Amino acid sequence: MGVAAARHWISPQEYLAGELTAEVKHEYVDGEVFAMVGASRRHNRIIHNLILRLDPTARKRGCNSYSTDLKVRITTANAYYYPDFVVACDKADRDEYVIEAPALIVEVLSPSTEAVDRREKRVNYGKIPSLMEYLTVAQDRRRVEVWRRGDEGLRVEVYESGAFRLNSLDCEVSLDEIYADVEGL
Amino acid sequence: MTLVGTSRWLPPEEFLANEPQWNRRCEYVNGAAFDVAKRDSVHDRIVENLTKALTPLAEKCNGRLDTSGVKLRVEAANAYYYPDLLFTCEERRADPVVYAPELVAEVAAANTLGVDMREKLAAYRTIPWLKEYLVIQIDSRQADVWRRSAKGWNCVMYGVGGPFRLESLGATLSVDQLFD
Repeated sequence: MGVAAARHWISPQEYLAGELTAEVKHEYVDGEVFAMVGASRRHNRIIHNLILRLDPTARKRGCNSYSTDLKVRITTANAYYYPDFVVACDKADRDEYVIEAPALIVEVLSPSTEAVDRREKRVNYGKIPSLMEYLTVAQDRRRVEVWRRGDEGLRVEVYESGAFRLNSLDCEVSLDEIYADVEGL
Repeated sequence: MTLVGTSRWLPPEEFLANEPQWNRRCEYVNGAAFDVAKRDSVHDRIVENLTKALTPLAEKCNGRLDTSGVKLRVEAANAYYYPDLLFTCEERRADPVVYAPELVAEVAAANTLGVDMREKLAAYRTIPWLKEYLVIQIDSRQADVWRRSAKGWNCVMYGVGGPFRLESLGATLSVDQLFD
């Protein structure tokens, strides 16, 4: 038999314990783990711009922002993701490694993650009751999709210039700020 | 404010009614529609080889194969997908939607691997009738067979070489045969 390998269902506890010592980060969806890949210079520049623009606003409101290395748990999907940028405001949400009540999540799209970010993660992040906005930010052109919680579910607004409102942080953010010094954009 | 576009949450009934008029196939995932990813000739060849191998077995057990022409409804995920191949024994319906597949297969290229291995795996596993989910990975020439067992789902990954079984159809296949 040309058996390459067998995979077994992994419990959330096994996954969380493994992540403390694993050499690469993994995301977890209902028994399966998926290794994360490195990112581009532009991807990273955009994340830095988000931190510079939004962290002071977040902290003024008693919230905190985190990037790339902190997990968000989606209980109803039995999933753990590492968002590119996340803002958490709930004082009761204090675990050292996992955020359960984010107010804002941002993913910077790349060719290998775009479909997952726009489909799977949009659905699963939408299941988090505290989440007010989910942003996907393109890195090959200026384009931000703002998914907001509506009565029926998440609805989207698309921006390619100008500025948009973030209800989660009660502020306006411009695309110039998000794409500052991003090469070619 | 320069807003380029907005879209509200799309109800599944509206997707189902409107998608045939869009002139392109779209998958639906809980409120939003996405273009079906482009497929190349290697992809089509693998689907063809798989279909050729499975058709006689599907006929023998009074079921039918469908390749990319029908939508698959996944109730728990509120999704409609176009799988590359499925096998079902349910009656043909007036609307081209399948609800109860026993086997689903996806041929995964770099642009669909994330969706096939993550989103669709999680969604397909919620279909009560599904016995097996086959993912054929083009780049690594590998076949992953996900199978429902008494203890949940498990996966065996097969590389180039020896044969593997699809219990849902009693088929014996090989990775080489699919990539022929």
